[in-house]
Amino acid sequence: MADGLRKFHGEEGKMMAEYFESLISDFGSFTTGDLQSFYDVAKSITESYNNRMFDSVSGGFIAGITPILEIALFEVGAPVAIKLLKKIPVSWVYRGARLNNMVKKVGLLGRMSNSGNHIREVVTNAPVTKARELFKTLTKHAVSIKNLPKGVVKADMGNGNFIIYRPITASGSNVPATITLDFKAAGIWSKERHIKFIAQ
Amino acid sequence: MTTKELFDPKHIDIFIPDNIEFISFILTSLGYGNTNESSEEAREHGLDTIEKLLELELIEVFSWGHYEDKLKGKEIPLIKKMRYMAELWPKGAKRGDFYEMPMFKYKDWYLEALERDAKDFDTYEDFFKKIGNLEQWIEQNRPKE
Repeated sequence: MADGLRKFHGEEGKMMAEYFESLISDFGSFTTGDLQSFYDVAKSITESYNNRMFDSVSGGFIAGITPILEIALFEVGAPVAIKLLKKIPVSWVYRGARLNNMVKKVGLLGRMSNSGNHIREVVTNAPVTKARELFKTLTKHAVSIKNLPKGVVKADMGNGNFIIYRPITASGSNVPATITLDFKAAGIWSKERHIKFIAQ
Repeated sequence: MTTKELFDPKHIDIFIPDNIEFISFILTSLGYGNTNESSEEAREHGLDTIEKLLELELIEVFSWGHYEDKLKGKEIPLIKKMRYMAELWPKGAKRGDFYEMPMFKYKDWYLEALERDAKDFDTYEDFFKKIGNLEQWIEQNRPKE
């Protein structure tokens, strides 16, 4: 699959191929179920590239990343999720168009909360670990990262955009972790977008 | 700020629990954006709103930001709270600064009542529309002395 992506799908195919290959050394630690989930997603991404589905739309590469985020957050256990997220290279989240496209996809994960569509709920196992790892992935190319009281971590993503992580949410309802995507300056949303990670 | 001004339907978003956590969220709910959130008008409107919500005992300070170590867990009268708040919110503060300032949370009784009464509605906004008079609903649900 990686060979095909590398040969036929240009720079973005190459990036995806390198990502798949970077995970091979970790396969020994995957459970059979996790490995099957990953294989299914990798196969589906490769098929979508072959069908040119990811080439024909703007931000198509990011459309290929969404299934990876989804299995990391919803299907596999925390140890494998961490590996899947950690191996995402910084080049996928370069500040600017690439990060903005990624952020748009992350902001649609999960389901709408009753506070409105600007707040998404991701129901998952190991919510704190997965939220923290996703935050680390999204902020690999941050201008600066600052730790603040109550476990709040602020990442300055440049040009007035911020990603905020917090392990407990002041809004109550026992939400163990929240990531706020503040990309108002980039014009992505008119309100800050919150992704709440809730235990299954 | 008067109670009537606080309950202005234009800013009803402020009563959604997630929308007061950080000062930037409060300003968004009050209608401020990139172009005017650092203005003196936004700062005054924000501080007045926080003062009114604290005075009505609807919210509490969740974190004191840079004063957390100094003020955590202390009983502080409203007037002094607002003095600290003004110190922690410098004039001309920008978006990134707001995340280092105090954080707030709605009182547990409010969160519990909202969760109970709004559970059959798709959104809190729908619930607020249905009940019409939010101020009255709050007073009915406020714990009795």
